[in-house]
Amino acid sequence: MRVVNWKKILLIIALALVVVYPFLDKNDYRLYLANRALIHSILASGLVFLTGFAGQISLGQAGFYAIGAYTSAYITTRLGMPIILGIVCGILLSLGAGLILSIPSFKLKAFFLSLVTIAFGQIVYVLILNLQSITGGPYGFFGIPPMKVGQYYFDNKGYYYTFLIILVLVILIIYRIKNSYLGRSMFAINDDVIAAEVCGINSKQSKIFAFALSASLAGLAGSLYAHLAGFLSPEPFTFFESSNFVAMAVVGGLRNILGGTIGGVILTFLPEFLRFRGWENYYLIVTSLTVVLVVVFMPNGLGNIIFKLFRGKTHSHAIHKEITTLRKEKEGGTK
Amino acid sequence: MSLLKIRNLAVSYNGIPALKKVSFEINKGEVVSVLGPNGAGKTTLLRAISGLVKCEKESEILYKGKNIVGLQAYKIARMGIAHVPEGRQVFPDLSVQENLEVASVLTSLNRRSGKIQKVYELFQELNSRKNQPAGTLSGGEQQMLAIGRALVSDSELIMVDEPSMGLAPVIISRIFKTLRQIVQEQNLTLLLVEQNAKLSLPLSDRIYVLSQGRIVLSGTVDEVKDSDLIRQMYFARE
Repeated sequence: MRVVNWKKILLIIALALVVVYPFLDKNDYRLYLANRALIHSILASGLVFLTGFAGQISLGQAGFYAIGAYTSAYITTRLGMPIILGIVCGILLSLGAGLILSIPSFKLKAFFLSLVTIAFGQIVYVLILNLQSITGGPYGFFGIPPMKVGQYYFDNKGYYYTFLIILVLVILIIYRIKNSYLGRSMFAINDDVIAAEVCGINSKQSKIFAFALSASLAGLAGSLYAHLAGFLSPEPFTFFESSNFVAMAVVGGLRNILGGTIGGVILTFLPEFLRFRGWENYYLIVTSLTVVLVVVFMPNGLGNIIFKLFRGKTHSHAIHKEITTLRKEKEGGTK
Repeated sequence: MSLLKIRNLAVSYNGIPALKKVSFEINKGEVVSVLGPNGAGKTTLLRAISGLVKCEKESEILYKGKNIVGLQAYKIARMGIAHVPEGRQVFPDLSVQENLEVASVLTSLNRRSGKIQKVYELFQELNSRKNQPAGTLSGGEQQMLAIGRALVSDSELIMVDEPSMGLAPVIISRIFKTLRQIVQEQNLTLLLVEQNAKLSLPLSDRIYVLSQGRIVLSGTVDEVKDSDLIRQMYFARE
């Protein structure tokens, strides 16, 4: 008896769709949105790591996002350096900011820490508005060079594959960390700081690492965004965006390795799809309502539901197999 | 040679003294019990040694001759002092195996799996629940896991806080039997805090009795067992 594992087939089809998507959809705007979704996924994966794995909270991720974006924009446009250097500098500067922001997390918990991170996001936002000579302030930052390989300037397709590869790498890195001693000690701290400390786990070090990683991923996302958009204005770096990033992580699933990706994709596309149907005034309400419903009814996020659907089958499949073999053995014994 | 030597240890919570100039020592390989009624400062004593509460200035805690007052908790743990906290604080979201792995930082890589295997031998219940989240274990199993975590850490001094708390008598006697076995086999030093003197006395070499933040009585088991104070505190009804 051979059971066709339709879920495996579904998974392969889904992965194949992700890979060939730019060739299926001729709509350039949707492809641009997909690129934004990938960027958001990178950032939200960092938040999943910070919040779901390390138990820390940040409502100021847009601050790191902005630091990455403006750093890369400045270095490539004003200083004429190559893009890769801009991205690296964007990551490093956000990482530095993340290290500084991890200091209050030693003493502060949940609510108070979130206030500190909101303040951080606000500070960065105000700096963007006022450091006009560097950021262009409210007039924006123009002429950021697009990415290119040799003489080929990236179109949306090129960006799509670049970002997809980066996202996959990010997820693999997080997966590795999650299953290392560092990852396990983070879960331990998340469960019980005191018990973790008396087991010899350095909780400060773990918090610093979590903040640094999530900040660098936000910085990476920001610098990718700068080159994709070619133009920066202060709007995508408000507190609203920070909370949107948190919503992505929560909707996708805070303890799920793919949570950031699932949430990032859904919350990037959902409002835009709703906008098309003559709902201009309501689309944000519906999006917010979706977030509320997911949080209330699926506190573990959509990622977990999807995982369960796949796992549920394989699990019952395994039990079924076990029962069949047991039965066979029994039959063999009676013969 | 004394492994742990405590001098003038004083701890207070917001100005209210919990430990008042406590001094005592533990020799290598000994089992020392700290007895005392609720609020005597037993748990505070362990927390002070572990670095989880701040000690007053004049306090001295010498571990292998080195003063550890003021060190961060994880550093003290890495020096070889394992603390099994009150109320079995296992990591509920980690599996049993992961709980043990996380606690075995000190142990060198090649000995780690052997140490963990040893815990599974001592507590067979855990072996069958290796991959289960620790939060789904019963109270007794969680206590076993908490003790197991201290064992894999390769610590020389193990401090156990109220291992009998909230457990069924059968499980309690299992756990104390295992503790005795561990001490005999592995040549560890054990500092045991326990309200139930009947359980801890047979296991111990020496006893300290704490009351209202002070040591009111100390001595070997035989000396202390017959004292009037202990009789009043624990055996009056028998």
